[in-house]
Amino acid sequence: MSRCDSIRRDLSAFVDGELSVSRRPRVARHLDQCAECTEYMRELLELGDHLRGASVEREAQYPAFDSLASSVISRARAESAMSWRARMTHACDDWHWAIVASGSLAATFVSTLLVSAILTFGPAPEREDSLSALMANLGAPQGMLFVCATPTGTNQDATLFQIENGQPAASRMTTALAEMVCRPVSEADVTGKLALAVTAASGHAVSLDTMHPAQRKYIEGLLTEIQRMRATQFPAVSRDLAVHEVRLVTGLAVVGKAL
Amino acid sequence: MAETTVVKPIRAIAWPATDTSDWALVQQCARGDELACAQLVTDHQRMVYTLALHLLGDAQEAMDLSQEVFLRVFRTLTQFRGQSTLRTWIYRIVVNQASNRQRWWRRRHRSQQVGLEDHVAHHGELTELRLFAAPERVLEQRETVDRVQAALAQLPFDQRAAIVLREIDGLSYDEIAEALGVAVGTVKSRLARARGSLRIVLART
Repeated sequence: MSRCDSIRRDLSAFVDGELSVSRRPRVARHLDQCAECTEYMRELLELGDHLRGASVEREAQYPAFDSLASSVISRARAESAMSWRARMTHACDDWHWAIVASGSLAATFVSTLLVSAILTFGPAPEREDSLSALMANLGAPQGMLFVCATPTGTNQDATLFQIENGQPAASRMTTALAEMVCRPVSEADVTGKLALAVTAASGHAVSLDTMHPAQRKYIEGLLTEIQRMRATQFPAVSRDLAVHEVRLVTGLAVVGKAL
Repeated sequence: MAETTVVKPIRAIAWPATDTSDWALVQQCARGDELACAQLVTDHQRMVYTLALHLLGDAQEAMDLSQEVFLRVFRTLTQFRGQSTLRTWIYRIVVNQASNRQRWWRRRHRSQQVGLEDHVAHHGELTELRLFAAPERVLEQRETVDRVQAALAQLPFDQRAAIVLREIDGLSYDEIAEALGVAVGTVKSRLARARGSLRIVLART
């Protein structure tokens, strides 16, 4: 790169008086010696004159600015006054947002409807051993209902009642337990029954594992009764019944809820 | 030794660049005072229109752009903190709006655009340039204006903005840098390139 090229790069800023003070003397010294660069600088200055001259000439053709301020202000006023409406119109012009809005509304409506229908017509989530399930059983019997209660005020032991709910009377083995607790029986009676139940015709004890499930249930009932007799003491205070237990017997399976 | 002493401006200390009357006017406009808004437009309309006209080259476009610029000024007036002068801040809006408009225009009309070289190849030299190429002829003022405008139109937008802000609006390099949002060094090189190109175009024989 020649010295002139390097100087000419700075010449533009030099004629504007914007060249750094440290570089000015070098350019000035070169201009004193180089006629071509001086000519170049003259052309740059002339160029500025051309541009400014053309601009001044052009100003003569400028339109009147009378209405510019008023139209800008009225547009600004309209913009601020109509901003919400303008925004809405803009949103509707661009259907994208309208579709999104109506889609989300429809989705909300449908899901609300679905949840309401499930809550109204769907199955009630209810525990089968809940009190309301037992009460419902009285209306639509699904098994035999027994109540174990103590007649307070006497020395009687707890008594088992079968509630009349449309079901046939309890089977022999089931009622054996009920009879046993309905009548005051001694522990020896129950023990005797147990001995008979677990003894085979040959005189040997029968293993629980080989027994019929119903037979086994009967024996378990007897054992429970013996245990209950030994453990429970009932105070005799009044004639009211103190209910201890409600049992729903479906076949031989017992579901119940302690009260 | 005295010759080597360099005095540099201290840039770290920044005083508010906006003078008090401008600042008061801005405050009034921001409060929604319509008289003040009208005053702001009146004070700056010629300057905005001139720059718009030189950047876009079309009177109607320049007038439309001027309206857009003032609307933009009023919309964003609350963001004006007075770091630059009000004038420089408005210049910056003009340059940005003109740049957007030109980009939009170019995208829309790209298919219809014909390069300068192609035009010259098919139709011969541009009228303005032919007229300029005859120095013995006394050019009418209107032709001079068109010739300069045609030469300006051939410059890239960034260089055109820099040269107009410098030569016609008389801004300092610092102010041009502020208005264009670039460094002072960039302004310096853009101006040098713009002048080099204009000199060649206007001197073309």
